[in-house]
Amino acid sequence: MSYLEFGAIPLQVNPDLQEERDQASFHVTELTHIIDGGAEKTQLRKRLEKLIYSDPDFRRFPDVRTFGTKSEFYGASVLKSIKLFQLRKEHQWTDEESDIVHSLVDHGHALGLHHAMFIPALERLATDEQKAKWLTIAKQYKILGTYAQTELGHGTYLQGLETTATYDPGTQEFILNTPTISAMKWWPGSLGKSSNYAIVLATLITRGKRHGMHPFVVQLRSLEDHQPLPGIKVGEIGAKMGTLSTDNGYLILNNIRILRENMLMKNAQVSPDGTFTASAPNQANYATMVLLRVRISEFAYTNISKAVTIGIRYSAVRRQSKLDPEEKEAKILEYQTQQYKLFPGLALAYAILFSTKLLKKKYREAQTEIMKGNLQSLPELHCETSGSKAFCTEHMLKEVEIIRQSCGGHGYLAASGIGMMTSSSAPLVTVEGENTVMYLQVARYLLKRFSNAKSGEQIEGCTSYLSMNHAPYLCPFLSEKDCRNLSSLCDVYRYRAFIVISRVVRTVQTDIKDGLPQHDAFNKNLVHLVRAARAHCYFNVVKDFAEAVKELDASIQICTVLISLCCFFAVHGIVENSGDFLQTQTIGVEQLKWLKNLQTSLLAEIRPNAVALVDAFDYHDITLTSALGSYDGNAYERLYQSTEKDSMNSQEVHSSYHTYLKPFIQEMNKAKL
Amino acid sequence: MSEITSSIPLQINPDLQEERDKASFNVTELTHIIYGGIEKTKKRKRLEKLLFSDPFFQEYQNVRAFGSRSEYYAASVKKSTKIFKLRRQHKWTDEEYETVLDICHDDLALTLHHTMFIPALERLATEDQKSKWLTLAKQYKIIGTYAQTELGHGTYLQGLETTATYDPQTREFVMNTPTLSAMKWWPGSLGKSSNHALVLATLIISGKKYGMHPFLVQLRSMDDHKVLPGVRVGDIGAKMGGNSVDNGYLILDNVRIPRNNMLMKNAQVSPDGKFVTRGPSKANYATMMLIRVQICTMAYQVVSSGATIGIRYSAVRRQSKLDPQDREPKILEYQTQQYKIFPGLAMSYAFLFASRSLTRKYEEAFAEIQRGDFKSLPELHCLSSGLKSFCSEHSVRQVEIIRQSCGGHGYLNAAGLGMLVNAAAPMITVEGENTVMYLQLARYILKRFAGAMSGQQLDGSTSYLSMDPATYVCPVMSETDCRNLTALCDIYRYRSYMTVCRVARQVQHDMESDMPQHVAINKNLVDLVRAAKAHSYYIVVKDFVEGVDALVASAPVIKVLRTLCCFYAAHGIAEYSGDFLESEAVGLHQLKWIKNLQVSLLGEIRPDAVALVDAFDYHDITLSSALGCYDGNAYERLFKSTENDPMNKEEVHPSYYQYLKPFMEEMNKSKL
Repeated sequence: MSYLEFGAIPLQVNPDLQEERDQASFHVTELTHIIDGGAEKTQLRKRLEKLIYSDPDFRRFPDVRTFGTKSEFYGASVLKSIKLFQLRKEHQWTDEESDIVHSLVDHGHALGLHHAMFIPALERLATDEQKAKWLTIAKQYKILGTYAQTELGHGTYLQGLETTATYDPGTQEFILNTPTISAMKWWPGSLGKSSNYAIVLATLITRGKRHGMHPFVVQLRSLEDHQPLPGIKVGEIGAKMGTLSTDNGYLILNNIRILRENMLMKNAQVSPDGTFTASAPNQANYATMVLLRVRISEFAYTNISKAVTIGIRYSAVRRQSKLDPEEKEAKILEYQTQQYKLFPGLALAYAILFSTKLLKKKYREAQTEIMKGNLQSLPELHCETSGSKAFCTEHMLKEVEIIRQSCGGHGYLAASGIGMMTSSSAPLVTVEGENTVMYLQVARYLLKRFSNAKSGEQIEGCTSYLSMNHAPYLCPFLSEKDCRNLSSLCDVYRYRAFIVISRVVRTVQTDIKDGLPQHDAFNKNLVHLVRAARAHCYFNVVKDFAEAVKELDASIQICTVLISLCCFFAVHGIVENSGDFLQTQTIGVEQLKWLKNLQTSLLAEIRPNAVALVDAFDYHDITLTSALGSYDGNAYERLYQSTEKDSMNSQEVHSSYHTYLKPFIQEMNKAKL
Repeated sequence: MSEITSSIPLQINPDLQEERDKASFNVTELTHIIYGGIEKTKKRKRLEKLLFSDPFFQEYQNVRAFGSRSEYYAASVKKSTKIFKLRRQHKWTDEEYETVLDICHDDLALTLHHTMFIPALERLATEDQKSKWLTLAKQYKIIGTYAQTELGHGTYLQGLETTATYDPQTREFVMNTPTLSAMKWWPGSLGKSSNHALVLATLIISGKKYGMHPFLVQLRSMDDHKVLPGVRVGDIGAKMGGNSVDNGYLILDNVRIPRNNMLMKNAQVSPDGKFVTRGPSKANYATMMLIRVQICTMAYQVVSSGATIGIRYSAVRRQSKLDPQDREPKILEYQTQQYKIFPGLAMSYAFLFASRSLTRKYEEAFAEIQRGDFKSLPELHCLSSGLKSFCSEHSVRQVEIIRQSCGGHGYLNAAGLGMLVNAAAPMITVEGENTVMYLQLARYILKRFAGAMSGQQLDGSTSYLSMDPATYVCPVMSETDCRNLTALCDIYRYRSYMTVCRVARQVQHDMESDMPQHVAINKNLVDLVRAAKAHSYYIVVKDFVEGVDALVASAPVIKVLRTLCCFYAAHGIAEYSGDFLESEAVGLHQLKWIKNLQVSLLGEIRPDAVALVDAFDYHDITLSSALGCYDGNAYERLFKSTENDPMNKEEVHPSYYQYLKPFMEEMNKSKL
């Protein structure tokens, strides 16, 4: 037997995985079409996959990420950007197609902000004249831009930003400055090394008066040789836990003079003599922030669905220990504890999928209204997207980490792909509105709506339940069987949210009545306010999931399995947060017992379809980049094969032996013990 | 306008100094308590000075952050050799060596040589074997590791597949890796560093299997480090963290070793192939437990480092407004921020006392084992398995929350938190995967519970299982009662009792309804884990309370630790309130009081928060965090850290010439 020949990848699907696929109760392709949004969308995605992955550079990219230096990876990422730009132009991709491609190639690339932020910001914030000037050359890639807002000292709290743009009527220029160390721009993607232009957000000062934050187009680097221009200090902010494909940068501006026309003036203007006028509230800009949060909820879906694909497939091929002492070792997927680690993530993936689909629809409707100048729906949309962003990323990150742990030691290897998922998921809880701040914004909105409801107003939208008459509430679960009713589960979540919100409202009011200033009363109740916002968000996601499943136009088998999954999602949430449900007396101890039993039964019900449910996400092996989660299930062979790529293995004897180890051993051998 | 530079101010950030000035207790006093006395503190500081006077340790951090995997490993080999030389030069005791490893933070490439290889030889080799190999190992002529885990099996030892077949003809063992999943996979220092390994393999004599035994196998030439024939060894690839170590794989293809290379202290194979044993090695077992005990200490270090960074940074970062009239407040003022960080602070002290108590129990038990008395082994196994899982699970989770509390900057490597999270992550799966550990604990508890039911008098950590639940009345009758540490302990004990009792009854019920035992157990695994967690939580709370009660210290130190202990217990009840309500350990009123108390305690801990992490007394290089450094100049240090990034060595990155410039030229030529 040739022992040293291990590692050839078998051509067959691992029989342990095939067996799982054979026992699925539903048709996987049908579900894939539902996930993608129709058979044509699936075909489109597959066409794009084929196009991208026929290029060896795209195939190689994950290896550079795993084994290269930071600088090499950035270099590869620039190449990736350029290839994407060329393909985009060549095939004239729509935004939708472009989004699909980005989701295939891991979202990030060095010049990602050019299309994701720079161009959209020009479109939104520039006058037609300005557009004609900059948008054209941006689309021709003559200039490469980014959007620089966050500073070292301030992120989510925009009023705290310190960069200044002072108007000089003498020369009709703005002078941009970074007045303190904490004022330097810090974090913008594509800023450190890639971009030669940036839209810099700065406080406008004209005639000695401050007029809030406005966008200014600033050239950073020479278009000839890419050297930073005088007065500009720009660089990389250093290594991060993940997302190394982009050069998040810092930027220091020292008396940089730009033309008056470089202020983007669609919504506010400075005239040559320095007069400031604002023609429109800056709400359009706001809409972009809202869109980014919707995107992040979508990323949350991508990450959790990838992670659970890896976790479940691996659990179907890893055999460990014995359940029945007479049998062979069991697939780890058979263990109840393993199911309890994986299936919440599986259910969460579908919950986020349906919930964000709905959110995106609402966003599109609101966007149409906003374009027509109707800003009425903005506060509601703001609340929904902030809450969704915080809820989805928080839960996703938690479940991804649990799934990583469920893969045991091998989950810690880069080749497993799942550690990478944790690291790239980690920033989602802090970017584009830190989660706690987002929850608190939701809470403030809830409080406002709650008092509107109290004063008799009829509330609509996601908070409409605040005006409902709840007395007398009766727990809808009168038997274990009742707990499977999705409407009842929704009712339970709704009532819990209502009680949690009304309690914190009462506490805040009491504190204010007792003479606390409003801000103290708030700070004293921040923890409870966050809890209230979470309860509200949980209700919304459960409701979205339940409604989507109910409305689904699909085969009975698909509906059955999705109803089980939805039910599991809701039941699991109650069990995990049982303290809150018991405390609000939404359920009693008896109901909790039923729910726990039901939860256990549902684990077993989901079990036979687990692999099919992740197969339906239909990730290409290269997109997944996981030795543990590949479609063929040959996890061990792929793990072993992955070691060949590590530069540590390029020589049998590592160079450090000659440099350090050998001299050390020799020295130790000479000396006496 | 003064130009912005990356020079670090010489003063402590006034926002941090202000915190230190208002501490209610003497920080040095607490530091001595944490390290076990003033001499220990002094010794540690001496070692810190010795190590960090060498500029190498500062450079090492940069290689770690920015180098390739291979460069990082090489730096770690260099670090290993430096530390081994110092170890010999200064004749460090084991305790001093461990202190050095703690200070140095991430693992040495050759770490397994001293932490596993040599101790295993000491435990498993006969005197003859020791005089041969131990001597060479201590002289670093042979550099070794311990190879047990395989690609296909980790915690489930019976599943390991490597074989050692005795050939009486040549009086050799023939070592083999019969399948892909049998290859050794994961052992540290195996891929590139070691020239020898203790390989755990199933002994086969005349076709009969005799269980797992340790065999000393040479892997590489001692002259040129080349891999020997029949051996295939390499690195298993990049990991989320711990890349300073060459975790390796090993394939053995008919590798022949002399009979004497089986370590024969506990079992022997005679030249003619007779197998003799004195039973399974309980001493070997004790080592496994020692490692679990050490993981609890590591969990303490991880969460206390995280809390240090999080709290210091929160005292210097100002953001948003609380009072619209005031300047931006320190983020530490926000209740939500306190709620993210103080649980980690309290947990640090909880794990300090719990791991100290566990270490003492281990030492007592080990002394008994040395005398041939094994009766405390099951209890110690149960304690160390439960606490290993509990401490690693909670510390990893809490450090991640602290990382998030530092906002975006927490995601930068310069913050030190991401590395901490990634370095801590494997604690959950190594040395007995946590779920498996909890289940072993649960089985032990079930057994003890059955014993208690049949009237047996229990002692040790499970003695409470013989309580009469009917006598329980929630000891908290008012909000002030919630501050009573004994009462809080009682609540945890009762909750644990009820959780154990319910699952025991459920399993029994299932078996009585004719389910085979393994089916009944699998049907209740989730609840069994829950019971083990409830038990472990109780033990940690109890250890913390007892540790604080037994403390000889000044009144201010005792006061602040009691506050922390109370917060730790109250927070646990609030977070797992469903469990406490369900088991009727508390009622709705009590829960409300405890939640209120929890919030009040946040405010009480707040003024001492910085002093409480200062007391951990981590050296800035050990912490390696721009956000958490002692002087609090976080922004300056963050900016300064960017200078170390090789990407900032040149204004224009090489990829501009290679890709970007040609691309832009091409785009400019073509029409849109």
